[in-house]
Amino acid sequence: MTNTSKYWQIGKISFLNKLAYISDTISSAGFLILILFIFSQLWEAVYSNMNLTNVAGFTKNQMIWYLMLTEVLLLSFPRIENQINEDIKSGSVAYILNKPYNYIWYQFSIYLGDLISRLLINFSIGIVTVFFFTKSIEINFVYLPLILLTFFLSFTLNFFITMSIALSAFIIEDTIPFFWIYQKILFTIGGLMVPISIFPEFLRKIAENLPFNYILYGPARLALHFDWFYLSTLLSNQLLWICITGVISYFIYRFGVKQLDVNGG
Amino acid sequence: MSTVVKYLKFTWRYFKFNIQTAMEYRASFISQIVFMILNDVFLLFFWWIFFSKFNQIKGWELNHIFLIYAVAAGGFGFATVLFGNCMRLGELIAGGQLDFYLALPKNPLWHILVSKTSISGLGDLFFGIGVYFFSKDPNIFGFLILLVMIMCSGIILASFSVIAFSSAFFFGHSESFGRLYTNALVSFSLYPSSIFKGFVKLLIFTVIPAGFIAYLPTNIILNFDMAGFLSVVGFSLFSAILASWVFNIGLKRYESGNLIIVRM
Repeated sequence: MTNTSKYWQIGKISFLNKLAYISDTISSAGFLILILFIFSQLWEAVYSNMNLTNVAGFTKNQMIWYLMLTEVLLLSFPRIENQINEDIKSGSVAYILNKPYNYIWYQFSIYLGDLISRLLINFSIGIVTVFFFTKSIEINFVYLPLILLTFFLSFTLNFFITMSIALSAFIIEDTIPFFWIYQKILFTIGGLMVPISIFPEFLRKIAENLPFNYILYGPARLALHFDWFYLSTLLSNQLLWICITGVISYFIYRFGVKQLDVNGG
Repeated sequence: MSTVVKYLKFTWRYFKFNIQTAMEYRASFISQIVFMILNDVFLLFFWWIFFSKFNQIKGWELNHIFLIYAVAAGGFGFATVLFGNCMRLGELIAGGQLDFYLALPKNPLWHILVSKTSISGLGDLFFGIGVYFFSKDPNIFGFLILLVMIMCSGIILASFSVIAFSSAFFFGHSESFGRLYTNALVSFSLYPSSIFKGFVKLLIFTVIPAGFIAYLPTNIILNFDMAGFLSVVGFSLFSAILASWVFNIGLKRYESGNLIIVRM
């Protein structure tokens, strides 16, 4: 089997596996509807109470669509960190290491397969829900292929950041608390709930110089306010941070495997 | 010794035992608490950005949000620390893992709930208590009321989780429903009530009682009134009785998994 086809098969199994056990995805889609409802009420109160038509370049409907896009991206990220953390802590990673595949690409195939099935469901439900709340369509579907490309790079960047943290389990054992913080960083300076253009000046500058805004804020902003200049900025920054985090995760993995000490049993 | 005292002692012993067990891994114990506090601080970040842009929304300011978080996070912490299995009940029922509790003389529901302590829940509890001192006018009386409201809020949250997860008695694996319901309960509790209108407002004081978990307690801490105070305390007792009733009806349909497990 060629390199590409074995990873393709791993991804396909992960995709079908997720579809077979769909209840978790449905549950997260339920949460998506809930949070969109709460925020549609919140933004309705803000815009109507203060007679606003536009906040930092976003109309009320765009604000709700923005949240739908960022939530869909976030809820579609598979939680591979739990499994990796467990594999390393329990030592069962040793049984994976001698298999004829690269561990990082193996995890990436599983991640993508799982993610695509979640994305299909979350995106479909998200679009229907947000259309029901706003009675408008705020995405220009002509640019959809380019928007999807930035989504794909967002997933890849999230994967390498996740791997860098998860593989640290070789050194610090339990990495789960770090994921709570990473998730909250995405919630805040990643721009999950509000676009970072709303932030106070100093904070916006900090957020713009970190990779997290290219995971949620960037793709969602592009989908709502497409422009070619921002597309090129976003793509180049996503690629740059993928390279940096990819190299970091590779070196942590190499270091961890050398340090690995498994007691047989 | 009265039954209440016996049960309080029983609960305290479980709590002490669970904490001692968790403290065997001291670094993990501390990191779970510290990181949960940080986690909650990050949640407030959204509101800080929000109110730095809009000042107030229908009369609610950042100060009120601090109080909402004090009660809701504190209540969630109280529920998961003292009744740690309330969020795992569906899994235990569907997996046929209640046999151990049914064979012992204590009330099964109470025994199941108190036999687990969430360590990260301690972080929520500390955060809830701590954030009160960042609100507008912290004082001793308000703080004492806060402690009572945290307990009531925790009891309501745990009770409605029990009701939601008891659906596993009737429908088998229903963890997704239970999780969605408890998510809804917590999510509605963390936003100002003034943004909801009409039917939704009715929902949050009945089927999804977020109103009793956060909004009413927040108002009582701000402007104490006896009627409101008694209604929250009364609702928490009512929800505990309701949870016990639903659980006992479901228990009659329970099927053992004949699972052999070692409890160490």
